[in-house]
Amino acid sequence: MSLSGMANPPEISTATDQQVVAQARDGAEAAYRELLRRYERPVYSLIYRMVRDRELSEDLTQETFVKVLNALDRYRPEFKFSSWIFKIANNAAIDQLRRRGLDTLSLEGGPDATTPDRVDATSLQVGAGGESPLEELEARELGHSIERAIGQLRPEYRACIIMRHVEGRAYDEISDILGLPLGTVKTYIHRARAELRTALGHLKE
Amino acid sequence: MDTRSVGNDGMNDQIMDGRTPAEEDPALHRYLVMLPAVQPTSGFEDRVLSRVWRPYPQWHRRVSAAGLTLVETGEIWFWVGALALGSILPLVAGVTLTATFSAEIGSGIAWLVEEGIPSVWAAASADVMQQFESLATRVSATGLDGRALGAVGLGCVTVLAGCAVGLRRTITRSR
Repeated sequence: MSLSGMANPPEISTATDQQVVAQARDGAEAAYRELLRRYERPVYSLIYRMVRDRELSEDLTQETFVKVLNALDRYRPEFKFSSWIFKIANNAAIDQLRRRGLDTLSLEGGPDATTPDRVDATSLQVGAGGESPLEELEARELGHSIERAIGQLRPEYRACIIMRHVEGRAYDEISDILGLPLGTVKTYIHRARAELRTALGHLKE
Repeated sequence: MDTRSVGNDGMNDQIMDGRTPAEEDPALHRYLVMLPAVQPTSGFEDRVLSRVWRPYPQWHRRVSAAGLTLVETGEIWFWVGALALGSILPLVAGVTLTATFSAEIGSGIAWLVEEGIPSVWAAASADVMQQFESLATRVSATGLDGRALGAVGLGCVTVLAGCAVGLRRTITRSR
């Protein structure tokens, strides 16, 4: 039997998103795991910075992946997979914020945090490890200020600024993800930066 | 460089295409990249995959599709007929050989039932019994009474069960 018609699937870790999706559609569990490996952190990070609740973020991230992975047949390869999944993640986060009636966020625990455990689960984790206690304290204070400033932005501004500066997404991709005109995205980012500069003005360079 | 005015709120700022976020606003970017990385808790992948329906592999779908085609087109009966015809030759050969050598086959079976199997069984059971007797002698040589032996046996079973549970948890966690 001739094998010339059977193309070898590309190495999964080096394959493009489209190729991985094609393998997943063929039922390969490794392909599903690869998509999760590639996107679980950035998707969780976006949702977490939007809703600022670890448990809730994990639930929303899970819902996002379940929705995406169960609908792979409807994915059109001419579009970026990342845009698709971030769009669903962003919608999930915005819906959640609307349900909770939240526009801005407090740093010291979520609005539903009534116990110390919940406060801990919903408070922002800031500061890097491996520093001296003083440096760690300063980094923590700085991180608190940044997170507080981001938390005070409108959800649309917040999504834009996180995708641009934390995720490093291009303007047109952010526009595609949020379903907003490119000019609006640039405006939102401009305004978000202005608000953040004002909010962080007290910090030393 | 392509520059254009953005927004409609009268701002004077311009955002230039093709620049990185760090180039657009270095001071702010420095702050924003200091935000710590966050990630879901361990086991996240498995929790997601347990809720995702995965299609059957391609080979499975091909075989199923081929089977369905055979049934739908009626070709299945052609292949069943061919298989039946193909089976007739070895069947006839088997019956002929059995009829020809029926005496030899009968005596062989009779020997197997009357002598072969009983002798093998006797040898094996005698060996097993010998091993049990040897074990019983060693146990009775320890001088322990029935209760003590029962307690030791129960302890062994408990330790074994504990090891099995621990091993299972370790394997589950490592996934």
